[in-house]
Amino acid sequence: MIDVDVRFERDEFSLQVAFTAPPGSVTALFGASGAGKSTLLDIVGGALRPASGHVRYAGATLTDTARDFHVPVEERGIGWVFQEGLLFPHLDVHDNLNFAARRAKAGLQIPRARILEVLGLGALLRRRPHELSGGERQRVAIARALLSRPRLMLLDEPLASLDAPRKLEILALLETLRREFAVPMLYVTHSLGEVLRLADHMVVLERGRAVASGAIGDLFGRTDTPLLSERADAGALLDLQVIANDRAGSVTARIGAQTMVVAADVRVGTNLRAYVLANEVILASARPTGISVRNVLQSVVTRLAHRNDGSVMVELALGETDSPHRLLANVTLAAARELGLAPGQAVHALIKTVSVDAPAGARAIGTG
Amino acid sequence: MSASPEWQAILTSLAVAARAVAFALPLAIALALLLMRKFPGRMLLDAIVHAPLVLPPVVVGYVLLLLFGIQGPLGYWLDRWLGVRLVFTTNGAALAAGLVALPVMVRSVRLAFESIDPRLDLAARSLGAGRWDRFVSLHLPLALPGILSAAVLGFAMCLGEFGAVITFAANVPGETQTLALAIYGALQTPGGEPLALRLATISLTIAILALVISEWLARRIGRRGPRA
Repeated sequence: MIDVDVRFERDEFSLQVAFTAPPGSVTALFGASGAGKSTLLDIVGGALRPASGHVRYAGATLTDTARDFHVPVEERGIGWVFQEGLLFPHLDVHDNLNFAARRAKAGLQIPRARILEVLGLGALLRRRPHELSGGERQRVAIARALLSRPRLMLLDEPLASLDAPRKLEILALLETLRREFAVPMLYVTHSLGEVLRLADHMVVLERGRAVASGAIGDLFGRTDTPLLSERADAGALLDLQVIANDRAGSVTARIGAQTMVVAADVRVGTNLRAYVLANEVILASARPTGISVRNVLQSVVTRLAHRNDGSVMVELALGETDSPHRLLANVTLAAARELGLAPGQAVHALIKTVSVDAPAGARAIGTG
Repeated sequence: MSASPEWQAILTSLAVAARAVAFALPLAIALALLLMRKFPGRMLLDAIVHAPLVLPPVVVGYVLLLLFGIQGPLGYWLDRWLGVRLVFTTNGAALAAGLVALPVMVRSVRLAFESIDPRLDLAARSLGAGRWDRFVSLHLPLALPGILSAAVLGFAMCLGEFGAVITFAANVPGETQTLALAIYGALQTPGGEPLALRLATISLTIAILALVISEWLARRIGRRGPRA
């Protein structure tokens, strides 16, 4: 369990954030640049002292200004991965890794050979940092942090300085670490795609304040988290269970009492998490016929919000009003008026099959 | 061979310069690290360390003579308690030359430490390295080219130091008569010009060699900088 409640001031910037995140989770600190994400990470890591407040992790107090208590960075048991990698330039990869291994703490115990294997470092050990590509450097940086046997990994926009193919490669590695080694992470990013693929939990930061915090399944698909619902890629997360594979690149999955067709090729029983963009959801007041759209989900309007761009964001509950499955649809004001959209009204949400596997990041969570 | 005035001057110069660097380099490292911190009186210390850069070296030698002369406040006690005399000795010449070279060495060492990315220090801390550990395993190796460059430059300066040495340690052949002093002595002697010319050529060769090595080391720092 991470428990943070801190205030921090510097020049014009003020940070005042409180959040908790469950133990063993991957928690994303999400927000635009300047929102205070990295400052918050520096406070959790101990590089900055808050003006007031506390940081606790897994039952241990790391900072408590009321008692003037502050565990120094080197004794926090953290593994820190920085945006720019920060490998030691005078040491080759092998010695960079040894720097960490020789000073290992008492946290995660992943065998060195497994770390090297997963991160694909075998061939790089004798290279110097300046001889590595950006992606290779970041792989070494992650391995180095893991070899220090941390209790918690802090990742500060680890993909920000990489090109798109490299981003995907490192993201896949981080998913592997999360899945295979259950590495607890605090992950700073401004990318929604990274949040969706990696995080269980999320703290949304805006101008030094936490505007929303919770399990990511609860944070999306709502109109009352403007930072998320005002985005062009606003949408909802659907937790689906695959009940049939049609062997043609798509599966049928259950959501609540309804089913939908999803572009994916996974085994029956797999839990899928899909992100559905609000812009790709069409609303109809009656069940339409004679159309190519495969997914027509019976829904109830739960909330309406006017966006800054003049359009209307419609929050829907799939099935009944109290359903935990939510969807967002973005429609024009004219369309909203024409349909007479109001809370409590039953509508049909149309989603093209392909749009379920949106590039923002559908992911398979576990198999079973 | 060792009796020739050229060799005697070269060996004395090397002995003076080596001893000067041996005491001035650790001092330069300590001062550089100290001056990178903020503390009351830092400006004053900075000014004192840099004073030999703008003072005539003769003044440096004279101040040393006042402090470390047989009757000087420090020289008296050094002689009495430790039996150490600095005036008119090789060690004295080294002290005088080293002090004149100190500001340049401090600058070079400080630049080397300051060019280390502070985030690297944070990375080392997050891996569990304490303060002393980080100094030994991170800062010192990263600053090493700059430190070596300071040593080479200081060595070259000490080889040629004149004013401070002759004022404090006098011009004793085989003891304090360095190349510079020997050249001066040769020029004062009728018919000494060929010797002066030979000594000058030797000085020039050593100086150029030192500058080339120093430059090469300085370039290595650039290559191993924070972006490497």
